[in-house]
Amino acid sequence: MPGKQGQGRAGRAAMAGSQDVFDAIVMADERFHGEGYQEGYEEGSSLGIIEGRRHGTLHGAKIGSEIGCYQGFAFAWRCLLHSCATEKDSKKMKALESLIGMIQKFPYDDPTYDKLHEDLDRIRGKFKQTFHVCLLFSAGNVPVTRLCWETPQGATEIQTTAAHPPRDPHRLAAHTTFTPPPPGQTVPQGPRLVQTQRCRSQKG
Amino acid sequence: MKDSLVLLARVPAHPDSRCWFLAWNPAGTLLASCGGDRRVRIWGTEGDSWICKSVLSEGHQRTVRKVAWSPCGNYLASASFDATTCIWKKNQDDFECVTTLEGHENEVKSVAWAPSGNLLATCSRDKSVWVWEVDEEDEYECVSVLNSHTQDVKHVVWHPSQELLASASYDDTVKLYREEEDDWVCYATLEGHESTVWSLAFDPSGQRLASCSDDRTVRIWRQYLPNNEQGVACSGSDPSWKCICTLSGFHSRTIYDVAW
Repeated sequence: MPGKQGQGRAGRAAMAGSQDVFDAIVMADERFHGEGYQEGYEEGSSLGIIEGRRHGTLHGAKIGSEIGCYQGFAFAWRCLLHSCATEKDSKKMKALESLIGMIQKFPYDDPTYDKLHEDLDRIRGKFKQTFHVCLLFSAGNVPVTRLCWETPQGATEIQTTAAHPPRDPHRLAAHTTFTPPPPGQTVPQGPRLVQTQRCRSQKG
Repeated sequence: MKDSLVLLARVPAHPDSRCWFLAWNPAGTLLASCGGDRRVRIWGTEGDSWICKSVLSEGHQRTVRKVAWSPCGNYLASASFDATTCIWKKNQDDFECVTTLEGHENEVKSVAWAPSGNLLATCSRDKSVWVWEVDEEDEYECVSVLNSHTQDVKHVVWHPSQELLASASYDDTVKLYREEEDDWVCYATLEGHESTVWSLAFDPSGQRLASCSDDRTVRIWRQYLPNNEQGVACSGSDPSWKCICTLSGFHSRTIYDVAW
């Protein structure tokens, strides 16, 4: 009978409509949860990017400053040794050129370089070796410049270690003890030329 | 009884402190000891007894961790917790400190002379290995600072016949170094130990390397040259080192030293 059928169809339509109305209320909890998560995620991502960028800038600056120190040291010594021709000096030059080469080859614009830390460690090692060779074997020829580093703690210069006064002729190291700024700590200020003095080995 | 050890003498060596290391000179006539009293003592026999022939003081400010005789027997190197290594020259019965090698940032753990006598290696808690060259005028020059390890380096040892250096570290690895184009590089890392590697020793032929560790095992490593008959893969012309044996269950605690 048409009436009955019509009633059934209208009834079903009414039921479908009321389902939509209740949907908004029944699903409200889940909906708000989802929206909240989405908003939070977006805000967190953008804050994270800002913090990450700040962290990266600081860390990159530290590395740059450290390598800049080494490069400055190498350039200065290369100038000082330019005119010297002894065998010891040519050894120093070789070490300096090697250090400069390593520094120049380092890819400064690629933070994802897979050998970044390995190469940095190699540069640090080369610097220590070059520092050793240049400053500790300068008896006679080149005036040994007393280099002082500003320590991360303040402006005090690192001078001779009082605990190790020179005990024997070969102890030039006492005048030139160097403690490199540990990586990760405050940015080193680099070498300041304090005074020039000629250090001669007390041999013979 | 064949092959049994008989105690010959008991000698109080370093008063009120630990004796950290002992080393026989190449001739086997002198024994050098070092310890927490910051001194190195040289012992020799006089008739049937062992006497202290020399005391090397004024060399170090802290514990002397290791001593090593040069292959010629005329020099003694002492490595100390004061971050320096002293080189002593033997003058009949006297020893004179001819130079002090500085550079390490903290405790020097080991020192070793290369068989050629021209090279010296030191390693330290600062994670680095330094290679020094000595010329005829007793001048020591640092030729390389190697920062390959990621932790405290405990021991360095030279190969008996090749110019090859090995180091053991708290980072559980053994690293091998050689000279390439005027610079020393780490060309191999031996992994396998599960804890600190405390000591290393090459066998007299130089074909095997023994390492002992805090993981209570001793591992034997063997060098395989390219195109070896055992079919061990090598990269290019570099020899390859593989662990051929692991000795475990013999010691219930850390193994601190090993010798062939």
